[in-house]
This record gives sequence, C-alpha cells and structure tokens, in this order.
Amino acid sequence: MVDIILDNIKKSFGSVQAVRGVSLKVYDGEYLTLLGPSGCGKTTTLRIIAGLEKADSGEIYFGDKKIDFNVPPEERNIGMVFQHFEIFPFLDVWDNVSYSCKVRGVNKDEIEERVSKYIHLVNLDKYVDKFPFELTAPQLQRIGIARALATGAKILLLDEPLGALDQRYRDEFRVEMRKLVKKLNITAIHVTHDQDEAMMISDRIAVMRKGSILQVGTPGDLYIKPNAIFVANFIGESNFVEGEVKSIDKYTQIKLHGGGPIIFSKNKHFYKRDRVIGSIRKEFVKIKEFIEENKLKDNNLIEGNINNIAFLGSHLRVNIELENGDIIEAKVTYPPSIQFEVGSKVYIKLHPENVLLFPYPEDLDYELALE
Amino acid sequence: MTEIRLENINIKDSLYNINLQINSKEYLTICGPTGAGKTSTLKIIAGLLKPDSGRVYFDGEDMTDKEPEERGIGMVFEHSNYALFPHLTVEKNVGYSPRVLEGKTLKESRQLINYMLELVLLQNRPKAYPHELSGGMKQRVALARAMMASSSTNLILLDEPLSALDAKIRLALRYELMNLVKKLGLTCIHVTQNTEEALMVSDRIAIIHKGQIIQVGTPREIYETPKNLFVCRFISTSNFLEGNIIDIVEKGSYILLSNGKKILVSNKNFPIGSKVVIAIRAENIKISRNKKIETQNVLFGTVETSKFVSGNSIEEVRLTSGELFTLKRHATKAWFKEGEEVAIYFSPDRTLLFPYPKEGLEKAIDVF
Repeated sequence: MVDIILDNIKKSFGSVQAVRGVSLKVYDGEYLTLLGPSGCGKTTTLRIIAGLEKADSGEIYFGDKKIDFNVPPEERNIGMVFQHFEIFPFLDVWDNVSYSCKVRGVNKDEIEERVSKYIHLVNLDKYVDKFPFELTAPQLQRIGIARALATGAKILLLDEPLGALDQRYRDEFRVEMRKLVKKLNITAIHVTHDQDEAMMISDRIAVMRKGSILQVGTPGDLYIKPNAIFVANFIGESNFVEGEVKSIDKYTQIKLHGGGPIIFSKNKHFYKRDRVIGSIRKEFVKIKEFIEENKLKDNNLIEGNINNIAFLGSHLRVNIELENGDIIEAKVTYPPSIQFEVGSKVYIKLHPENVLLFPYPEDLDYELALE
Repeated sequence: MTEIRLENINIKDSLYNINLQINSKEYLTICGPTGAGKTSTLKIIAGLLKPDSGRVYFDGEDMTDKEPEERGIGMVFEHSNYALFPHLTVEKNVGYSPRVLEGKTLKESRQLINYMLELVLLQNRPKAYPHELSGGMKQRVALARAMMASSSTNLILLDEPLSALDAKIRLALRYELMNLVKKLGLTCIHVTQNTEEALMVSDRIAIIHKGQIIQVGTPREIYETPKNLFVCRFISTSNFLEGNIIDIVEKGSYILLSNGKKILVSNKNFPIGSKVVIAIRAENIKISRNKKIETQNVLFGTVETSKFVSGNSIEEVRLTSGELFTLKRHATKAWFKEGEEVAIYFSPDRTLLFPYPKEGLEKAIDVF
C-alpha cells in the first residue's frame, strides 16, 4: 500500500514562494502527472517528495507512514529519473544500473537478478557492456529508468524524463513508459510542461500554476470540465470571448462585447448582466456555408469573415473575424466538408454545451497568460 | 529585398549537392530529423560555415567568400532567452550590434532603435531587462535585434527559435513570429525538426534528410504528394501495407496483400505486377465496432492502446496480420477500450502509393 499524500506543503526560496500549500493524494499504482508552465512549483513539489528538498511546512505520507522531512532520499524507497539522465560516463550499462543497488548494500545474487531483469525490461540486453558515449539519448534514458527501478522502489519520480529527447523519440517513449509502470504496478509521479505528454501518459493530471494546484482530474475531465480560465487555456486549445449575460431561458444568452453577436451556453450558473468569459474549444467551432435563409432557420449562426487559413495536414486552422473584431479559430478536419478561402463570408456554429462560461476575472491578462 | 540561391553546395560527409532558392519575402522552413544537415545549410547562408564546393548568391551576387558580418543577416538562435544579454536593457540589446550604428550620431541611433521597437510593439519597454519580459516579448527583442543587423537585406535566419520554450508558449509564439515576419516584409529561413511547426508557419518547406534535399514545396504539396516514403512518414504519422498490383479498374488499382486481402486505391500510376507500399495517414482511417461493416478496404484488429489527447482520440490497433496501426480523430474522449476487437477502414482516395523501396520498407520509413 503506497498511496502518497501531500498535506498543505509549503516551500519558499528566499522571498519566492515556490510551493504555496499543495495538497494531493496519489493512489497506489496510479500514474499521476504534475503539469504546469516553468516556475509553477512542479519540480520543487517532486523534489520534496523525493527528499531532495525540505518543505517549510506541511506533511507527507507514504501509505500510513508519515515521512519526516529529514529522511534522506535513499531511505524513502523511491526511484528517480532526471531530464538530463545523470548517467555515469565512466561506467558501462550494467554498472550504471547496478550502482544504486550496490550503494544500498543489496547482496550480490540479488543485484545480478534485479539488474538483468530491469535491463531486459528497458530493452538494453544487447548493450550491457556499452559505455554511455556509445549510446543514443533514448538509450541513456533507458539506463536512467532501469537504474531507478533496480532499487526495488515502488514509487517512481520522473522529472521531465523526456525533455532532452528529440520530439520523435518522445512519442514512442511515453507510450513505453506508461506500459512499463503499469506492468510493474508501481506508483509514478511525472513532471512535465507538455500537455500532450501529460494527457498521453497519465491516469490523472494535477495542473499547477504559481505554486498551487488548480485542478486534478483525468485527461478527459480537464478537457471537458476545466475549472478555471487558465486550465481551459493550458489544456487543449480554446478561444476566449468577452460578453455580458442578456437573458436566461433554455440557454444562457451572452451578448459579446463591442457590439458582437449573441452566443448560447448551456451553463446556467450566471445572472442577467453578469460579465463573463466564454471559452470554446477550437475543434468545436463548426463552419457553415453562408446562405441568408439559413440564418432565419437557425438563430445560433454567427457571421464572420475568414482572414487566415493554415494547412496542417490532418487539419486546417481557420481564423474567422466576427463583426466586433474578435477572432475565432476553428480546427477543421481536412478535407473540409464545405469550400471556403481567405475572404469568404461564412457562418460559425457553436453548440451551447461547448460554450463554457467563467466569471469575468479581476485580471484577464493574468488568467490568459501561459507563464 | 533579397533572394537567396544555393548552388551545388557540398560538405564532405554532411551535405550533398544542395540546390535551393528562397524568394524575396518568402518564409521558408528547412525541416528534417536531427543530424540531417539543417543547421549546416543555415550556417552556409550565414557565412558561419564554408562549403567545400558550391556557391551562395544573394540577389545574384556571389557571397560565398564573404564574411558573416559582410552579409547583413540577422539571426535568432535556439535558447530560452534567445541569447539576449541578461544585464542589458531592451534598447541596449537591440542596439548592441555596433557595426549597424557605426557613423551614426547618438540621435540617429536612438531613432533607429525606437523604430525597431515600434515595429515589434515594444516601444513602451525600452528600459526593461529580459527577465522582466514574457517569452513572447523576449522573442520580439531578439527579432528586433536581428532586424537591426539585417537592415540591408531584410533576411532573417531562425535556428530552432522556439524549441527551448514550454510546449504551450511555443504554439502561441509560432503565430506571433509568422505574422511579424509577414507584416515586416522579411525574407525568413527557419530551421526546425518539428513538422507541425513547419506546416504552420511556412510558405514553402524544404525537407532535408541525410544531407540531401528530398523535396521542396508548399505545406499542402508536401502533405498531399510526398515524394517518397520518408517524406510521407516524416511529415505526419502514417501506416503502411505492402502488396502487389493485381488489377487496374476505372476506380483505381487493386493491390493484393500477403495475407490474401485485396485493397483498392485511387492511384493508377503503377503497372500490374508492381510491388508497392500503400500509405494511409493516421487521420484518414476510420474505426468501428461493427465487424460486418460493408465498405471498401476493411481490416480487422485489436485495440492495444486508446488515448485521449487534447481533442484527439488516438488508438493503436494491432491488425490480425500483425501490423500496428495508429489512428487519430477529433473526439471528446477515448471511445475504445484496450483489448476491444474492431474493424478499421479507409477510402481509396485517402491513400498514397509508392514503389516498394530498394532498401526495404523498414529503412525507408526510419525517420529518426
């Protein structure tokens, strides 16, 4: 039983509050990712769990056992994997992987058995006597993972483990990492700033910003039900529009700012005249042909002009300018079902369930910043 | 206004007969895997690397033997801080290039710097230090500095300018960069290994592999008519089937796979008997639980992984014939469970056809 519980963890470096009261439960056997921009406190949180940093206050439990902040990393039964591998250049693969067992005084036969098991698991059997300079970056990271696992740890902490790999290796590696962790039935906490990586690899994701956790959920939860503008912006890609609630009946009607059109939302948690921010996923913006009588039949069509089209192979990114000057971007599957070009007048259609509403924040620029 | 032409450029064991023309005000991306020769090509244009043979022309003038500082080029490098001087303010960073301000009075220099800052919308922040700026602002300072250095040519070289940034910021800055380059009327050569970035920002893309330019074209041309299997796989996740053409009909060609299955593709350019490879992009394959589905080109398999990533469902399906296929669709959640048996199918006109490669399929699609 190795649930990991963090209770109100705080940590400052001088005047900088790196972690501002983080509470989190990671379940036994779970693959959890701490996701956020640079400087959000995700790595500091991981290092506190590892024992590489001491928290200023708060509590950590591994299962029922409270972990004193003074317990050093090697006594916490964790394995760690780092972005820059931290492989000994003067040791071959076997010696690198067996190093952590030797340090912990594991007996010789046991080392033999464990090291060959984990070298096999990360597909390095053919390279046991190779030195780091003879290997590629992904192979070096495989050593890092085998070394972390060979300690026998039931908790694996991964600090941007794919950050130093080329984009094309990353895709394969992340699938492999998840399979490995699940196969060994260990608990993994993974730190990254890459939302796609987090969604691909995780059971649940904790989104962090400025030292706090904003939301914890499955990839689907975070995508469909973001609880803050920042989360809606950071996970996936959204358009944000400003407006005021005009009326509420079957749907909430929002009049967009600057004399913009009315859009409909299923969210009914607002009152008339509330200022709101509407958030619409780019892949949920549908483009319809501009035919006058269509507008009469369907009052949920918004007029706009296409002012840019980018071709991305599997899809197009189409920018549509509304009458109030707002730009809405649509991700459209390629080839599109209707013809359009830059300059075309079109309708866009937004389904009310896909228009999420947030109260207008004190500082919109801050909410929409990615850092 | 500068047009760049590379003519038969060679560097031993690294670049082979590179011919490339970049038009004035064009945004061209040199895209390829690590070690393909992208940065070497860029350095040859900048004058930071001398070719063993071949010539470099700017507007018809031979620049091959000119030093970098005589070429009037601005560069932006891969670095999270864009190699800005951390101890200098925005205006000092922009005005750093001493040669540009040579012979100018203090007033003229100030005017020029202010003008550059206005272009990149930083006229209000001349006294700020890099650490006080957002990622986008830093990028604009680097661009303003590069433009100062390139005021005679309007030629900007970008070496993986976004790769050191957080994933999310990278996406936002792509737009900003592209719009700025276009607005300012610059000629831009951008090096990246990120194919999505290349598709998004470029007028044209040059695909480079093992020191050779394989194909140059618009994003659409590269995606829709890749010249070979490498370009096909490199530009977008694709799946491959090997077979032989057995019949050509009005709708296209029938291909017999080794497992006895027949596939119809629209392409009719190969004679009967040819050994070919069919490529199907991940986004052009449909999936169904209904295994009696009546449509063209149905294959069967088991879902190995099913993931939801930012608006896309991504499945890996192990076909009964052994191949692992990747499928990608816009979706709001992962709909298929691991272990589920499914039918997958694709339209004959959403396929690409290639001659079977001499080096074997595996080698031809090795994009690493």
